[in-house]
Amino acid sequence: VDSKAQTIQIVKRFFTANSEKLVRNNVRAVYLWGSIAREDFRPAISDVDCVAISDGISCEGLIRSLRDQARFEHKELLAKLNTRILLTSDLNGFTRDTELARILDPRLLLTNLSSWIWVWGVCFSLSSFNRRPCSMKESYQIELDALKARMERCLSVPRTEAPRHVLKAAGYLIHVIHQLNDGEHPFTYSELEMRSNSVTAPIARTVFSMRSRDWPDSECEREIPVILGFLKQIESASFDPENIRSTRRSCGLWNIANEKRNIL
Amino acid sequence: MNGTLRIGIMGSAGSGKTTLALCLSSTLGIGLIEEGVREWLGPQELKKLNKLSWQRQLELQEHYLTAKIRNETLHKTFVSDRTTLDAVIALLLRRTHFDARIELPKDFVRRAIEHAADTYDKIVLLQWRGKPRVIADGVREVEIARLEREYELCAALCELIDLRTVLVSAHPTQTDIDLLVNEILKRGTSAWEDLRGF
Repeated sequence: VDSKAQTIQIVKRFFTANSEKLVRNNVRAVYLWGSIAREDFRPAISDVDCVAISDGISCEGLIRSLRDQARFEHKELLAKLNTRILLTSDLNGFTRDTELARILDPRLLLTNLSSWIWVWGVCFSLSSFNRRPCSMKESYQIELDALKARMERCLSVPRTEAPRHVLKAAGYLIHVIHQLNDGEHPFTYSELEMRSNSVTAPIARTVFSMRSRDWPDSECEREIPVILGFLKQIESASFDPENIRSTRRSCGLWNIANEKRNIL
Repeated sequence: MNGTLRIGIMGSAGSGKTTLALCLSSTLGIGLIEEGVREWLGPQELKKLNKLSWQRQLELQEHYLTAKIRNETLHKTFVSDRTTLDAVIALLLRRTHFDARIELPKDFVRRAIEHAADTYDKIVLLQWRGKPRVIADGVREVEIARLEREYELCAALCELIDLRTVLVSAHPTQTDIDLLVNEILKRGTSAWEDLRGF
């Protein structure tokens, strides 16, 4: 039995059975995203990430209680169910009221919307919202800025986010760089390692190794300052992601960054 | 789900299409494709929809049709609030404000009709019982003759294209909706079989 398909089916049935509550609380749609929406989902290991798109923040309690209920009712497949909420006004660019919209730029979310798996409610499309999605280069800049901020926040006390989530975002930034280099392709961890180059290899290696050990929080936390260092070097070297191919040929940013470190 | 179940909901303004679409989507566990016109219009344009220039009407309906076709092509099972035929109906209704003899762009009409004929497994047409009754919300059309004309155009187009149409009374009751769901689940394709198990 394909447990990914089974998991998706169970999530769909669970939310459909709770339609009335969702409608009453202004939830417009429920989607699956993250690894289950990609090809590298690992049953019983990967998180099942779910996002409810709503017209108002008042549904937060309902979504949390539905998550607990689903984890209890379907222990085998949904023990790792995570839920987040996102407002339609966040996606339209009017607010950034939800935690998710504060962590990730809603334009990036909008750009990725088509790769999410529809679970319940409205089938949103890009034309459902006023905003335009990002270009690849804009995605790179937004991801880079957001990731640096998240890493800095993650290192501060009290910690605002689990380090594994931040490290996963580092993997996604590398994916964006690879897309700029090689053209559009789906995000999977094996692709991440396969396509890594002199610029992206150190980060890709770390992310891949953490994933193979199921993202241990303490080790992820130790890696964050190292990756943050790489990111700052990328920035200070005036790195233009569109020129990765040429930098790869001529010894690459990695060496430029190393030279700078040696001089210092 | 392996099969397809693509339902389009038609009817005049204020007949309960959006409410019915939401009910069917929730009950059957299939996606809801929204009408999607209001998001593109500012509040000013929305209030004076009939007073916009013919060129702007054409632009809006072209935008609506393209988005509707794109969205409906992406999904195998859905209930759609309005159909591609509504783009043609909107232009037929609004051209009377300009010149009733204005021809509609042929390619536009062809795309709307071809998509409808190839896509919808079932059209649910909301039919007024007696005179139309619409709550005036400042946005919806409330002129009775116009609402009746809109319904007539919907019915005529469904018949002309020979779409599988089910008539349901406007502002359907829970019993009407239950009967409709039973009617949908009665059929024998793989999607219907999947939904029955749901």
